Amino acid sequence: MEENNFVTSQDRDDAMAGLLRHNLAGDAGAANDCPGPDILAAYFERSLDAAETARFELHFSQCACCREQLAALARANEVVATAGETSEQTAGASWLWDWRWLAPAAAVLLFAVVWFSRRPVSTPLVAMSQPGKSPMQEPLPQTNAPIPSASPAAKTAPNADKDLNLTRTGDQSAARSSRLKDEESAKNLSLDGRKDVESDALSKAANAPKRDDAASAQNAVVPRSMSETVVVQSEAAAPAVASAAAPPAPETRGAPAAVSGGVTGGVSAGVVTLPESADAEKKQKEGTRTLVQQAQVQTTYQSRALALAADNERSALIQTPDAKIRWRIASGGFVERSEDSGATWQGQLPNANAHLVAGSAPGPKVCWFVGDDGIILLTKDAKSWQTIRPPVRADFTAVTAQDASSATVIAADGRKFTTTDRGKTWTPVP
Amino acid sequence: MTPRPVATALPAPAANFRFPVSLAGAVERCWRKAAAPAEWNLTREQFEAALGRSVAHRYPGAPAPPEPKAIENYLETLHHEDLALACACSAGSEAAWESFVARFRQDLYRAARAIAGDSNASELADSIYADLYGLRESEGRRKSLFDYFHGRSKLGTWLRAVLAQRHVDAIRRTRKLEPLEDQAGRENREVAAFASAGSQSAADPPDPDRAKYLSLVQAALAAALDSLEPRDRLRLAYYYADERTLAEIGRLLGEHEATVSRKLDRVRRDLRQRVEAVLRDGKKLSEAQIQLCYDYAREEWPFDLTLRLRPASVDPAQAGRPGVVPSDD
Repeated sequence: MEENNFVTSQDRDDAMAGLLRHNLAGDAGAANDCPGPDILAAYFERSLDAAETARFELHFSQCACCREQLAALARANEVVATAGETSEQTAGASWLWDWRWLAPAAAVLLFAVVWFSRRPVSTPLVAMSQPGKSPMQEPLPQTNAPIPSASPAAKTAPNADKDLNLTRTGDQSAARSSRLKDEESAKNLSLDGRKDVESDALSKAANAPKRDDAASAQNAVVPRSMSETVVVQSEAAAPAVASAAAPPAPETRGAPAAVSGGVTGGVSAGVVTLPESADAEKKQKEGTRTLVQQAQVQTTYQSRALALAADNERSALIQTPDAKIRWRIASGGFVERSEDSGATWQGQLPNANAHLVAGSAPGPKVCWFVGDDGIILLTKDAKSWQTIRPPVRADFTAVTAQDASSATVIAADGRKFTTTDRGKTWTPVP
Repeated sequence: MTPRPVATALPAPAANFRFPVSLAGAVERCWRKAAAPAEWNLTREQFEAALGRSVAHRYPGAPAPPEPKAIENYLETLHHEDLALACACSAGSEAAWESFVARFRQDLYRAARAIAGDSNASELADSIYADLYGLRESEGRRKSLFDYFHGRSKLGTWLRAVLAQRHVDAIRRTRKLEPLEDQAGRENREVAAFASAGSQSAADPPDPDRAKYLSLVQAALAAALDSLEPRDRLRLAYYYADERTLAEIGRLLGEHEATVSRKLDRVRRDLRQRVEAVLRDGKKLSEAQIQLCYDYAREEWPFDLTLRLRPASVDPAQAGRPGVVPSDD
């Protein structure tokens, strides 16, 4: 009986989807009242006021032509923004090739190589942190593992022809089925985005081709977690392995707790010495196996990091009045704070369920964050967080704060609200 | 390549708005923020006129003049530097034009490639370029596309919007010129397909109430759609009508992909509940009859219900408009 109800409900959902497709596919608004490019651009930049936004969104919902134009505008903006970032990075990296510092740096490097080659091998394991690097910025070595993304949709490259293809073709059934998968994936995300991305990454990594090439596993440096690096040397005996696992893990910076905990809990570092006895070969094989396992976990971790990186595209840097102190939004509800101009970052988790979008820091320790679904967070001591009651249940896209009591938030539909009493009362801003 | 001027479809620039004395301070602040370099030879009067056009465009044909405070707030939101650059370019300043070219030329062609593809990008960008420079003259004055920039967005975004609009307009014009026999052929094929679908179920006697049920469910859905928030309706249109992915919709609406999914799900559920409530409580249909409504609606695909249900007396101007269905009363 329950099964019948389920089938009926799904049938009705299918019917509703078909009805919606036909009701919304019309071109009712395509009269002469289509807005000009100034309105399209202002709408795209979310700079129209609430009334105008609602008015034009109603028009767009009925006008396929305007929706096509908006999609083309989004495509162009994306390309230009990407090109802008690339050129900035290129310009920023030009100093790398300045001989004035390259020459002394090369000399220091040469000295270090000579010194390392002559010193006795005694260090079993070195765990070192890499300050100043965000988990998302850390370069990831090449792996054979598939790279998960938050959703298949995220992988879909914008297709110039798609926007202009209004006629339905037979290929659309395939497109629809892929979109359904896409939707399912995002539904999972909406339930618990972080967990699903991670478990997806884990399962994919588990099925990934195993790297049995000992040489590749014995690469000198194996990035182990987002905040630490394990240096693997030659094979050693079991006690050395135990001692290797003993050093305390460095402080996690910005990495989601579940991620770093999962990885560090599941990995034991391998330490290797050159074979000296009759069973040295056997030991070496065991060591190799350990390293292969490490490489698999590492692959898993990289997959997670990439998945999180995809989710973290919109991370933002928030400057405080103190030039050295900065905030930024990481993924999975995390925020990070730096007290040394961004050299090192400390992660905090104000609200695990929040998807934060923007922040404003009017003081060194005071910071406001806003996000989807009416999320407004405030800290006055840079440690503890307070959830502020939102003026409306909306997605907030921006916040401007004057101090720990006064702030103005902007919703996705353009509405603005201001408070001067830490969110106890909100006043709409015209 | 010689730029080929293309007639713009934009309306005439808005008439100027004369600022009252009470807004002199606000205008002065805008002028200071614009910080136009001296070599542009842009005068304060020219800039004020551009601000006036922008205000007139924002409040077109308002029954009562807007409050000075509202105008002041509006002026604060404008992109003053970009407006000054556009204004100076429109006025014919070579220095401003060079500044514009240095800042935007590369992005303009890059955006054209993203919108129109490599083969058509140059033509599209060149046509805009020519109009921006103002190759056309009217009443002894060069007419520049810059006159239509009102500072409501960044100049770069506006340029991309102009490109997008021209490209889509051109594509749509081409579609309208599609040979009529092709269109007729497609309709014939659709009719044939429908006929064959009907013959498959010829063994079942047709339900005389079928049209009524379809009309009821369509009307209920149209009413439910009309009561939606514009943004919810737009999200649905992107998803169902344009068949965009969640990621694309997220980028268009400035929402996270998961948020798009969640809201689509909620709106779809709400719509279904509203439709069923209307059918059950308003039209007094039983559960079995409601199920029939859905079944018939599913069988109608891929034909547009609105077209099939439209009676011969419907105003041709309303033809094809979704949600226009005959009342069953």
